[in-house]
Amino acid sequence: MLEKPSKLRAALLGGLIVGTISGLPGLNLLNCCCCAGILFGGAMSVYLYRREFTDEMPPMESSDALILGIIAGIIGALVTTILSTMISLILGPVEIEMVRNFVEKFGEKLENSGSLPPGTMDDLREKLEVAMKESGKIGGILRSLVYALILYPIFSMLGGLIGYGIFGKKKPTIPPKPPIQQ
Amino acid sequence: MKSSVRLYILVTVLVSLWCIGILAAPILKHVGWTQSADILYSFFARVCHQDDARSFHIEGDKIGVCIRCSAIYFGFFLGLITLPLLRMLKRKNLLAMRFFLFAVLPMVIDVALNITGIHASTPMTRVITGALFGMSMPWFVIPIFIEACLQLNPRNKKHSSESGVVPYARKAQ
Repeated sequence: MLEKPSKLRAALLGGLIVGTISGLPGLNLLNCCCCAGILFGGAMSVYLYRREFTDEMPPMESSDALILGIIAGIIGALVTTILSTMISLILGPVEIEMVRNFVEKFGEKLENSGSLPPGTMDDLREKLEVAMKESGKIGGILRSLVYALILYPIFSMLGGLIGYGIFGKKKPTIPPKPPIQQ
Repeated sequence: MKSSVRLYILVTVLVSLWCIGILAAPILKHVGWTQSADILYSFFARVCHQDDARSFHIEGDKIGVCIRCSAIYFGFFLGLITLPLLRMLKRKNLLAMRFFLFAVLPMVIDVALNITGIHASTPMTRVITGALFGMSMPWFVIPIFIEACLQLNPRNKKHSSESGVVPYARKAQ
């Protein structure tokens, strides 16, 4: 029997998904809903790993999903921190202006439809101001890295375990039909 | 004490600490420990938008996360403590995946309707849909988590038949 495939590739790809979703402004709003982006990345790493299995290999185990989720979360935390730092260093005010425009347009639409309670926009503007002040500072970067290194592996692991429940099931192989004798 | 029970207790303690942290943020702020409260608020800011208008308040200050997130986390805690009652610590007693998806669906619909502006979500819908998702999560995830941890222990691997750890894929065949 062959050995199980290496987890590195799947974990790396899962981590990149987590990092990209969490690091890109606008897309990272997905994480406001119970870290949906991180859960998704963890589940995707398990899906990608599951695809590497062949019939000759031993079946995938839940411990594989657990480890994959944790590694993807750690990689995701590093990627997010690097990505968001690079974006704020390179784009700086442009990025914040982009986010501000997005928040203003989208927020007004939601406020008019009644989906956002009054006062929410002011709160968001205040948060943007704080983010503007903190972005690019080493202390802020380190603090967000520490928080990400605690939180991302937890949520990514949960995503990995959910992914294992969804994708972990091995399809039974159908034996080839015997040739019909004439 | 069985390894699975020890693991279950550890997870319950960690989830309790998480929930206490959510409630502790406004309490610490109220008693004047603003620095500790700020640390908790900025920690939970990583997982929640913490919108003041969409949060529960204690002594005039919002709790660590919004209404939906608090419903999810407290629902998770509730689901976790009901696990032994439902005898779902072992993988074989696991709820079917479709039940979990049914539990997620109402929250997804509530969020989607709110974002598209078709129907504004209310605190009540956020609590109900969030708690439904949160409560179903441990029923589905914790047995897999416990099985995974037991698999990682070499002693359990050697005596997997005694510990009741059977790989999911192998069982499905």
